Amino acid sequence: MRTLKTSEAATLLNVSPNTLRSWERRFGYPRPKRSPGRHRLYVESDIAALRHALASGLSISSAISVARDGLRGGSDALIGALTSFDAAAADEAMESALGMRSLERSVEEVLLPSLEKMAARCGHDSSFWGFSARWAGDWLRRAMRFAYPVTSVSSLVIGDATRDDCDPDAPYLRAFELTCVRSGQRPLCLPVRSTGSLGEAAGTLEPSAIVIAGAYAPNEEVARFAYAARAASGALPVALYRRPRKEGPVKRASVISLPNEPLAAHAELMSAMAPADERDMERVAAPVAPVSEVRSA
Amino acid sequence: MSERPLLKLVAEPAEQRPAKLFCGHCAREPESGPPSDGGSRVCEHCGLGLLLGASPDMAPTPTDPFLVADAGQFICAVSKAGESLLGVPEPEAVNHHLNDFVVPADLANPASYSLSAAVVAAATGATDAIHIAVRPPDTFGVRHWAKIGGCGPPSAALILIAAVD
Repeated sequence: MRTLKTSEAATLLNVSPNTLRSWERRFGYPRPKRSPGRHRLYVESDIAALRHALASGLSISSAISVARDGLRGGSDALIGALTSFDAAAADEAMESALGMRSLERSVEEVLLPSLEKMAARCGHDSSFWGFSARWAGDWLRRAMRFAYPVTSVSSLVIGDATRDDCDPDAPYLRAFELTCVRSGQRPLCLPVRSTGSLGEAAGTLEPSAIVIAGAYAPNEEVARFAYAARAASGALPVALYRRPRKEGPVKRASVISLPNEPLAAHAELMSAMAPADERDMERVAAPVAPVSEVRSA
Repeated sequence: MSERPLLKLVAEPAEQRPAKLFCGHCAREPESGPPSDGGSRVCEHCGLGLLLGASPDMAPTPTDPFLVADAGQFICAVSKAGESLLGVPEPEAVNHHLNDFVVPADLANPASYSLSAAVVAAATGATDAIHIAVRPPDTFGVRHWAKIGGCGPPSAALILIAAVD
């Protein structure tokens, strides 16, 4: 956990060291640790959270209250940790969030909004975003590994159409995948360019739907992936997640556009899949949709 | 072709009055002018309040007791004079409901019921100041005038409290 001297903390907050000490006396925050020489050492994520809260606060007291609440589980603490490149503090902020919310809500209410704020403030080409997106990807993958084992026979093929972990849609894709795993499903997430031997994967999983997630990959690549998956598994429903639907003269009812939030997207996909599951026995004989239909995705 | 004129004279929009800056704790004006973009909003005099803006007729003086509440009617700031009047330090008042400190004093007057409405209207951008008689919640016989208007940023209600003559 990175610490700051009084002068460094004061500079970050744009106040004098005396003001910082007077806040400690009056509000009890930010409460510094002490160095072996008894000098004040402020935790950088505390200062970053307070700085963020001060920017949109009505008083020092309310900003401190917001920063403190944030440290107990809100997004300010996570933003503070991410802006100070402190992965351990970011993990800690998520741990605090998990103390008050379910995993899904922690992801939707804390992790993803914090990333949105980081992107809005620093831009997707900044080192802040690069660090934040990679940390979020790692965190979500870790959460997936610790999710309880798959209980449902239902599975999905997810075509990853994002660029890499730093793609703005990548954390949403990971969060969607996590939601699927937590609801007992078995998602198989593959890059959309991995069309070779897709039949073997589909044969093993017997997926109930194909989801194309992310806006980066070109339509041709996505269409090839969807066609290969449908050729291997039958006429499965195709859903688009965080991928704008191509507008054309003919509307394709077979392609479902999912909402942006992972929980809502999963719920909508489930409701769309329900009749498909009922038709499961007939699916084997169903004709494969022509490539022109999935290409419209 | 109709004889009716195509252009219609409309009233000029109300002139935007420049906001006067004051500290949300000591109510003093900043000597160095408004903070620059990304600059500190912390009061250069007391260091215990953030700079807020209000219309010149609403902006308080250092002797005025006042509160700042958000649209949810939760206290966000209490001035130094307000702390003396209400007998509570700002850190203890913040996040409490406005009605924990002041309630309408004149319940016989239907206008008094509008304290909440006035605070919500001011916090959401209403421009006209409203006067309402208020009293401490557990005390009768003590009345104050609350002058309620907007302040910010972010948008909030400024409640100036003055003794009833």
